[in-house]
Amino acid sequence: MSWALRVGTAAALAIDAVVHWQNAPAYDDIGTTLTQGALFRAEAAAAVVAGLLVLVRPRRSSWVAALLVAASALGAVLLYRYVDVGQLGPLPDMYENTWQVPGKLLSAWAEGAAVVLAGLGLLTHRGAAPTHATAGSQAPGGEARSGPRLPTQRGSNAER
Amino acid sequence: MRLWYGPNGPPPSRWGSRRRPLVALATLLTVGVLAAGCGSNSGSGSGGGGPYGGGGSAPTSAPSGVATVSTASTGLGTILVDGSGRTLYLFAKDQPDRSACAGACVAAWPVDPSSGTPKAGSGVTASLLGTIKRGDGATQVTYNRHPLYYYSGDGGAGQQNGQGVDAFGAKWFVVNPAGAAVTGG
Repeated sequence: MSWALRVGTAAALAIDAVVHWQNAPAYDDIGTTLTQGALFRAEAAAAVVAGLLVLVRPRRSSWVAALLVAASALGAVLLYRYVDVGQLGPLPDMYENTWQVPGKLLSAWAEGAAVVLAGLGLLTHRGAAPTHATAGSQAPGGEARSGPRLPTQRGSNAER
Repeated sequence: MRLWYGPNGPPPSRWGSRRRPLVALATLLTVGVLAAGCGSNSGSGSGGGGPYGGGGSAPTSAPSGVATVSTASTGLGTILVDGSGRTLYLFAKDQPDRSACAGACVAAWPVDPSSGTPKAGSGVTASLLGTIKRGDGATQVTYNRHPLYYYSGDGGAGQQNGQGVDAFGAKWFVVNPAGAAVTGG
């Protein structure tokens, strides 16, 4: 299950990256110091990095990075699709009231999928499994253990 | 829910922990290559909305041969259309006789091409018609020095779904017979 989440998240982020990278040249003259094309390339790079992190180092921080990259991209595309917010500080005016741009809709769906998958990955992340448990050791996740025990012991009367 | 595996840790996985990242990386690269392959079709220009355009069906592909520009009465008034009645647009970011639309923009807004001097249909002033040579070598019809485009979101004749759309840095408008943008609607 974790494997599927990692591959699914990385694949969704890869789609996001490819679309942003390919469309960036058409947006290079929108904005002054910070152009929309540059932001698209930064988004593509961030998506690639987050996807690789989830694949090769599936730690909690990697899931958080993937979730942030996907959620920020999805939030931006929805905001600028439906709300004309104009120029925001150094950000150019990226209002675009159409989905009729190559890859835009696909990218938005991929970002939504990445948000869901990375969220699930974060929720189900269990950290590194213990390899040597000793009496009185701290189990991953911060649960104090008095020693090895079987799953069937959970929920016993002694714990209630 | 946590499972306590005992002093020897979790049971060995079927794949082996060292192979998983490699398999996953290979899958990612495969997806990336496939996506890049699909996307490369979208920048070619004269097609419809490309594979991701969503709604760019067959009628949105630009015609070939000598273009005809005509007029049609619509809810936006009398506007320029091509020989088959499809709406033509101008891009507010364009300079006179110079297109500011390329790449993904042309995939969404296919140019009105012509292999020769365009023909003036009814209601059109022939002296306002012209052409420009684009960077990719294609010839694009102009009217009153405005390069003309189709919209991949139009399914066919009689539609003006691109009117007032704000995309690629400026708005898109239909054109009246005088060669000005129709900003209403």
